[in-house]
Order: sequence, then C-alpha cells, then structure tokens
Amino acid sequence: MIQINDLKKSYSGTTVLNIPTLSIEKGVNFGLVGNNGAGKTTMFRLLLDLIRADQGEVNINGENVAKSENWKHQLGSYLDQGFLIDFLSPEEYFNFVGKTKGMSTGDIEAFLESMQEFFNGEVLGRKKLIRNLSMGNQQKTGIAAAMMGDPEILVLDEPFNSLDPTTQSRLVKLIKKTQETKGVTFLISSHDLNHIAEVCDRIVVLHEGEVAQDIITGQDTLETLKAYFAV
Amino acid sequence: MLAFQFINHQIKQARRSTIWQKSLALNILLIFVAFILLAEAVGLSLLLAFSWHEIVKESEVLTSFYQLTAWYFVGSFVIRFFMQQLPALEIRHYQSFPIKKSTLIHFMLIKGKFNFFTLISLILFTPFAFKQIGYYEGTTAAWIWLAGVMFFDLTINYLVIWLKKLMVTNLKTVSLVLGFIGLLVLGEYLGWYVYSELFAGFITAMMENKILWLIPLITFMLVYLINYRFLLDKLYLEELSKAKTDKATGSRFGYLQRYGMIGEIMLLDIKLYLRNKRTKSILFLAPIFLAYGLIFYPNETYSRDGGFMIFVGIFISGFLILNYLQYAFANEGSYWDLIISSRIPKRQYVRAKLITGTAVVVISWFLALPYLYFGQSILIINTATALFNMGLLAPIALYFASYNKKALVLSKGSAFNYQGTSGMHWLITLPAFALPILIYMPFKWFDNPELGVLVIGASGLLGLLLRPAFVKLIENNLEDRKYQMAEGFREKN
Repeated sequence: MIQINDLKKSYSGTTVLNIPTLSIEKGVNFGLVGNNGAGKTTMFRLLLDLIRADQGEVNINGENVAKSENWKHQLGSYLDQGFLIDFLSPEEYFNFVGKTKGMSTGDIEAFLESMQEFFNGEVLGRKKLIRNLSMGNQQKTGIAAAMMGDPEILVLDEPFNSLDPTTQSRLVKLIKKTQETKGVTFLISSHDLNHIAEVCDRIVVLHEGEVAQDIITGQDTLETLKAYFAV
Repeated sequence: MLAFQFINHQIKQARRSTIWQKSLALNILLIFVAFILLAEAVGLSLLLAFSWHEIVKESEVLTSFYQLTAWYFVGSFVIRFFMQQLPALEIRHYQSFPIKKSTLIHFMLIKGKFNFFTLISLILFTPFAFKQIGYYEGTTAAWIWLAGVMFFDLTINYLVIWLKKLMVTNLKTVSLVLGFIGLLVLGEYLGWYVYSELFAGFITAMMENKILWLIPLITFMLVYLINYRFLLDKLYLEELSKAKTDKATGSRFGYLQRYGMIGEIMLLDIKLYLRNKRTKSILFLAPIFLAYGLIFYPNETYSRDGGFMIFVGIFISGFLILNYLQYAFANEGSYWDLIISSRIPKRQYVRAKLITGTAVVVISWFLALPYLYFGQSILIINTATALFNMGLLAPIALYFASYNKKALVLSKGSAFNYQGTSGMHWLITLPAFALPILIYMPFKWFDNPELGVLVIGASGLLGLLLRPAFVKLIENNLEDRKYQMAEGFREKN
C-alpha cells in the first residue's frame, strides 16, 4: 500500500534519512522506533509531502505523494502542534477538519459522539480555545481530528506523548479497535516500547536514518527491542 | 556579564533565522536604505550646522531652530509610533533561571534605547550644538543643550514604547494619541496657543537657567520608570492571562459555511482576525486609514486631479487587504502543515483568499462613499483605485505572500511579543502603491488626467477578468514554494 523507493533526505551534508526500499502492507500496523534524530519525524514528513525528498519517492497506492494529491483522501495524520489551529475551539476545529474531509455536520456529530470516551469529557463543551487547552488535551484533539473521515491510513507521530496513563491505554484500545473494525492501517512512531509492541504488527527500528531492524511483532519483541536500546 | 550573554543570544537569534540567511538580498536592500537615510541625515545636519544662520533672520537664529525642534519631536513621535520596532526579549526562555526580573526588564528597556531613530536625532543635533549653539552661547551651553534635546528624544522613545505596549491591550490609546497631536496642530493653526513657541521658550529658559535642563532628565527618568513598572506588572499578568479563557468570537459569520470549502476558509480567516491580538490591532487601525482622506480632501493646496489623490484612494481601500493578503500564508504559519497536508484544493484556497480580499475592498469603498461630499472627482478616483485594488493589487500581494516565510506569532497573548513588526513591510508595499501612479503620470503630463484615472480603473477591471489566470499563477507558485514556506514556518520565531 505504501512503497518507499530509494528515499534520501539530508540537511547541510548530513544524511538524516536513507531508505533504499520499504513497503508497508495494508492492515499491518507499522511501528517506528529509534532514538532522537534517528529520522522518524523526517520519514513521516516525507510520507506526507511536507518536506521535499532529495532523492527517491514515496508512493501511496501507487501514487507519488509529491506529484499527486489523491492520496490525501486516504490518509489522516497528526504529527505535532503544527496541525492544530490554536485560535479555534475544539468543536470548530473538528468542524473545519471534517468539512475539508467532506463530512456533513451530522457525520461530524456522530464522530465526536464516538470519541467521547477518548476525550474523557475534557475536550468538548468546555468553551475553551485550543490554545487554552493543556498539552494532553491538545494531543487528544489532534489525534481525533486525524481519525476523522474514515481514512485508510493513519499517521501518528508519538501519539502517546503528554497523554495521561488512562488515556494512553484508551488510545491503545482505540487503535486496535479501529484497525479491526474499519481496516485502518496505523503508522505510529513512539519512544514507548511497551505501547508500540502492543499495537503494532511490525516494528522498524531506525538508526541514523537507516533501517536497523525490521521485526514482525511476536512474543519476545519487547525483549528484543529493550535489548537493542539497552546501554 | 549577563548583558553580554543576552546580546549574544539576540544576535544569534537574528543571524540564525531562515529569514536572515535566505533573503540576503532583502537584507542588503534594507542596509542600503538605512545607509542612504543615515547619509542624508549627516548631510542635513551639516547643512543646518553651517548655514542655519543664513537661512533665517539674524536676530532669531536659535529661537527659530528651537521651534523647528519642537515640530521635529512631534514628527518623530508619530513616525516612531507607527514604524518603530519594539524591543523584545523572549522572557520565557530566561524566567526559570536565577536571573532577577528587574535585570531582564532593564536589559529590554536599554536595548530599546539603541535604535535607528535615536541615532538619527543624535546625528541631526550634534553638529548644530557645537557649531551654532557653541558659537552664540559657548561650548558648555552646547553640551547642556545637546543633553537636553537628547533626553527629550529618549523621553519620546520610551513614551512610544510604553504607549505601544498599552495599545496591545487597550486600543483607546491610539485615538488618544492621534487626538492629542491633532489638538497640538489645530491649536497652533487656530492661534489658541503656539506650541512651537512655548517649546522654544522653554529651551531658551533652559539655556539661561541651567538648572532647568534637569527637567528633560527627570521626565526621561519618569517615563523609564513607568515602563519599568508596567513591564514588572505584566510579568505577573502573563501568568494570570494564561489561565484566563479567551472568548470565542466570530461565530456569527456561520452562514459563510453554506458556501462550501471556500466559505469555510473565509470563516477561518475571519476568526483568525477576530481572535488574535495582533490581527485585532490591525482591524482597530483600519478606520484610521479609512479616515485618511479627511486629512487631504478638505485642503485646497492638494490639487484634486493630482497623483496624490490616487495614492490616497489606493490607501483607503487597499490598506487592509494589503495587510491581509501579504500575510495570508504567514498568518497561518502555525498550522501550515495542516493546510498543506489537508485535502483543501490549493485553487480553492487561493480563490477564498482573493474573494475575502475583494469583499474587504468593496466594504471599504462603500464606507468611503461619503467622501462624495468633497466632489465627484474624488468618488471617481476612489472607484477607479478600488477596482485597481481588487483586480491587480490583491493578486500581486497574494503572489508575494508566499515569500513571507516567517510565521507570524499571533496567539501568544504576550506583552513581550512584537515579532515581525517593522518598517520592512512598507519596503515591499511601496512598489505596489507606486504602480497606479506610474500608470497615471504619463496621462497627466499629456494633459489628460481624467483618462489616466479611467485607465487605472480599466486595468483593475482587466485584472478582475484575468483573475482565473492569476489564481493559476499563485497556485503554481504556492505549490513550488510550499516546502520552503513550511520549513520557515516550522522555525518558531
């Protein structure tokens, strides 16, 4: 479904990402781990056509992301606060994002209703603008907005960050449920090895921009990862 | 030394921003303009110093210069008020370290002392002090006089800083300041009192009774203190205002949503303008620019068919859209990644911006209709310039908007955040204002100014007809530049 060919990106002479080939199959949740500067965010940004690749290409369903825009209809994403419009209230933000994804007002209401448990009553109806929300609630808002419009692929960069423990386990459940019931493929990066081993079917370890390990998640995956990152 | 550390950080911040590195040409242009201005100031100061006594009557060489100084300060005040960049230091970075608040504030304030306008004053007054005042009154008096006027200058400097900081929270000050200056001018005009003579009288008294020069020193210290107290207070308010919830305004425009994606984008821009301090202050300034005509229309000395009236017309309906469109993308810099990764078609996005711009011009044109009172020709000029603004100025401004790669920080309700406000904006703006005058001038020279006005209006209409082509052009340029813009926007200040 996603095919990366000969992808390279460097900043002032230093290669930050170099992936000769990588394909991600439909229905297989894909986890990305690696230390700071390993190239996780760079890879996601290239995938979303937010930065220009020096070389190579990313294809989603056979379309080069830098040359076409159709793939945007199949993909939802939340990388960081650069995706939030901070002077809107969460309701207005969901409405705007929903409309860009072609949802009707009724669709949006139904969607928000389904997210109530994840929001834990802290996002909607509080008469606050997004900029007045806590980091955790901003994170919830961004993740939820990415999930709008039934995308086939969901790209989340460190989604567990700043979430409280309860919401973290709710997010784990939400990801699993969405994968099972709607057939969504998640692409998730995280520093949290426990969570990523729990929700992903395949985990790629990046080291200095290159694929260091490519693991199909099994019983001993967590131990393998812990051993890899242990010093 | 802490101060050196701060200065070091400031220089690094400026040098390492993408704006500095990537638009070297613009920086060179700015430095060039600054250099020219300084050279002109030096020339003028030497001219004043060496031949002032030949320009005015023998008996009142100094008094007449003092009167000139009086108006210089008023002018300097106004120019500073609109152009001067406020000293800023990102306090947040330093707040958690064991640095005294007072040190931070003093550093910020003293940094504000070293600016272009103060330098100009120093250049203008120094030669005069020693050449003319030294000649008539002696060198000691020259020193005292120079110190006196420079303290006046600094008083104005800090007064402007204080007022501008107030303005962010309280826009009544703008009208108060303008009212005060209006009163000054009007009073002298109607002969109630002569401000410049009063001022000159004070300076003369200061020269005779040296103790009086303490007055400018004291006013300076007073204004500095007011600034200091104000900022000290704000450091606390800062924390309070974070907890305060902003009110959601702009929901009344909900009907725009009926117009599909374009309506959504327009609605988003309206909310952006109403909910952010920075954009709100532009909206508050807008009526002042609408009233710009009042300064020129009643005055018979400005010829009605002159190029100047065209400039006024462009300004009346163009000020707001120039600001809006030039920063159309930079305003959205904080969520640019969302915009370019969203499914919003670029063409609709560009069209929405232009439609909003057009609507603003139409509204300004309607609001300016009462100028008909000053004659039909005014109305014709304003209509022609409004068409020009819609048809040409709007797409040109939006095209160049993609070269603003610095995200405007709109939402930080911070009294210490004045990022991106400077005279540079006008440097880009001026050519846009000059274009209609360039179109008009040849017709004026060949004695057919009416036709010139018609051609301006016609070129605007042509621009409106060609709008689809402009949209395509802007869209392609945006597509080309989106990565560079995204990179610049990600760099948070």
